[in-house]
Amino acid sequence: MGTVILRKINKRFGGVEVLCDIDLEIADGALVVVVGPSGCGKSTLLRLVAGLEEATSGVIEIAGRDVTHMPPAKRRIAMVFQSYALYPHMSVYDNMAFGLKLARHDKAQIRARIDEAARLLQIDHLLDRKPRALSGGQRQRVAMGRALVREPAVFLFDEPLSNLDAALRVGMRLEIARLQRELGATMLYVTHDQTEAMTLAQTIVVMRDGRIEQMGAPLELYRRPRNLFVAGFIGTPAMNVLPAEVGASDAAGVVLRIPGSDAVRLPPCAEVRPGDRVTLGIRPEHLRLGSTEERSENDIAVPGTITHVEHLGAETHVYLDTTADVEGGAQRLTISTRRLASVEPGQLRTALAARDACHIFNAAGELASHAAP
Amino acid sequence: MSAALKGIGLYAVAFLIVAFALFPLAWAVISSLKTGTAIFDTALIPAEPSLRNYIAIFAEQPFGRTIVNSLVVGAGTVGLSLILALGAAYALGRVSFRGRGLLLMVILAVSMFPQVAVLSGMFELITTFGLYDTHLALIVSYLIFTLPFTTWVLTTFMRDLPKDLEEAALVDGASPWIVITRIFLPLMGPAIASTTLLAFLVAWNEFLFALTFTLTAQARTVPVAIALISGASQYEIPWGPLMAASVTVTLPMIALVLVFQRKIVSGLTAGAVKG
Repeated sequence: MGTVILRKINKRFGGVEVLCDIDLEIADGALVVVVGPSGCGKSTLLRLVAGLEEATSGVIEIAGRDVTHMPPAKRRIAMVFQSYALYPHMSVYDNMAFGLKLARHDKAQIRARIDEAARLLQIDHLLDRKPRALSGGQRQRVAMGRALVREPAVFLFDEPLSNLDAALRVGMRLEIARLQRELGATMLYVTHDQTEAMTLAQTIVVMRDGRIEQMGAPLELYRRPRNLFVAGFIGTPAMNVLPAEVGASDAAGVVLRIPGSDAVRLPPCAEVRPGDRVTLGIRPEHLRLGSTEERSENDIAVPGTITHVEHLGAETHVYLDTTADVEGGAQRLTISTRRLASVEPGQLRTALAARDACHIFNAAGELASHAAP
Repeated sequence: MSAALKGIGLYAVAFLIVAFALFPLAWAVISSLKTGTAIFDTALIPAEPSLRNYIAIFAEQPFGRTIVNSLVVGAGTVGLSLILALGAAYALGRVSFRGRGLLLMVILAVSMFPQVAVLSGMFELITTFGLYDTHLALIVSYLIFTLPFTTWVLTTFMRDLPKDLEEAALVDGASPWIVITRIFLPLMGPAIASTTLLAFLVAWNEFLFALTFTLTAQARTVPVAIALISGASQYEIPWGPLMAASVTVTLPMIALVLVFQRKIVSGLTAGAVKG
C-alpha cells in the first residue's frame, strides 16, 4: 500500500508561519496519530497531505511518488472529514459511488467494491437511505465507506470522532483500529483528544505551534516525554509539576529543594548543576496520600489541603493545594488513587511520591531525567 | 372582549388591504367578460358574460405568437442568467481573491442605472450586432437587470454551503464545474427557484426595451403587444380585448408564484438567518 514521506514542509498563510520544517515518515501499514492543541497546525498538515492546501516549500511523497503539486484526486488518498461531508442529496450508495463514477470505473466493479465496503462496515442495509435519515454513528460509517471504496494508498482522518457522543466514540475507535488491522492500511489520523491518540496510535506525533515536539510509541511518550509540553499533554489527569531548585548534583545523586518540603535526593543526573531551577514532574498515579510521618527516606512529601474529591468508581481523583506558596500561590496537585480512602475536602494531608517516580525537567523545560519505568 | 375586537380589527384591515390590491385585477377579469357598451356599465357581475374578447385577441391579433415570444425570451433570460450567475457565484462565494467585495459592489451598482440611461447605447449595440427585432436582443438586454440579483442571491447561498462538501468532492476527483452542477446545484433548490421566478417575472413584464428593440410580431413580447392592441378607429380604446389580454398573461404568473411560494420565501431569506 503506501508510505507517506514529508520533507522540510513549510506552510505560511500570509505572514503567519503555520508549519515549520516538518519532517515525517509514515511506514506502510502504520497508524500515525497527530495530536496537539487547537491551532498547532495538525489539521493544516493533514490538508497538505490531502492536497487541499499547497505547501509553501517542501516535498510530499505518497506511495513512492512525488505528489507535492498534484491535485487531491491523483494522490491516491481518501479523507474522512470531521463533519462527515456526505452529499446530502445522494443516497448512501451514490455517496460511495460518486468518486468511482468520476474515475470511470465500470458499474459492476463499483457495485462490487461498495458491497464489500458496506459489509465490512455493517451498513449494507442502509445503502438506499439519504444521509439525513442516518444516525451520527451511521453517517460516520458511510464516510469511512466512501473512503474505503477508493482503495487509497493512505487514509486521512480529520478528527472523525469528535461529533459523536462518548459511548459511540469508544466503539468507533475500536472499529477504526480493527479496520486498520484487517486492511493493513496506512492511516494518518488527526485529533486533539490525547486519549484517542493513546488508544489508537502505533506512533503518536505531538505538535505545538507548527512544530513536531515529539514522536514515538504511545507508552514511550508517556514514560519519557521530551519536554514539559508533551508531559502535560499526554496522560489524563495531566502530570503534576513542581518547581524546585538544585542544591547539589554529583555521582551520589541530585539534591532538590522543593518549597514546603524537605530536600530530597534523587538518582544522579549529569544534566543539572547546583543552583539550576528545574521542574519536577510526577504522574497523578505515582502520588499517594499520607502524612509526613509515613514518609520513607526515598519519598518526596508535599503537604497541602484537599480541595476536591472526584469518585470515578474504579479510581478516585483527589485535588490538593500545596500549603507552601509556589511562585506566589498554592500549587494544585492531582492524585489518582485506586483506594477509596476517607478523604474529604478541607483535610490537611501530604502527597507522597517515590523518588524514582519523578521526572526532572531543566530550566528550558526539557527532560533531564525520567522516572524509572 | 377586547381580544375579540382586536381580532375583528385585524381581519378588517387585512380585508381592506387585500381588496385594495386585488380590485384592479378583479375589475380586469370582470371587464374582460363584458362586450359592447356593457363595458361602461359598473355592474360587478356581467349581465351577459362572454368570452368573445378572449377569442378576439387570438383571432384578430397575433397574440398566441406574442405569448410564445415572451416565453422564449423569459426562458432564455432565466437560462442564461442562471448559467452565468452560477459560475460567478462559485467564484465570488467560494474562491478567495483580491477585490472580491469590490466586484460584488460593482455588480450591484450595475443594476442601479436607470433603464433610460442605457437605452440609446443599448440600441446602438443591438443594431450593430444585427440583433434588432430578435429574441436575442431582448434576452441580452434583460441580463442587465437579472444578472446582478441572481448573482447576489446565488453568491450568498453558495457561500453558506459547507466547505467540507466541496473538499470531499475534490478528493473524490470532481472539477469545479462538477462540484457546481452535481453537488451545489441540487442543494440550492430554493435559491434557484426564487431567482428563476424573479428573473422570469422581470423578463415577462419588461416594456421599455421590448418596445424599443422589436418592430414586428416576430419578436414582440406581451406587454408591448397589449399596449399596441388597437380598436376600429383611433378614437376607440378597445377595453374589452385589452382586459382579456391582461388577464390572460397575469393568470399563469399567479399560478407560478403560488406553486413556488414556499421556495421563494426560503430562498429570499437564505443567508439572512443561520439555520
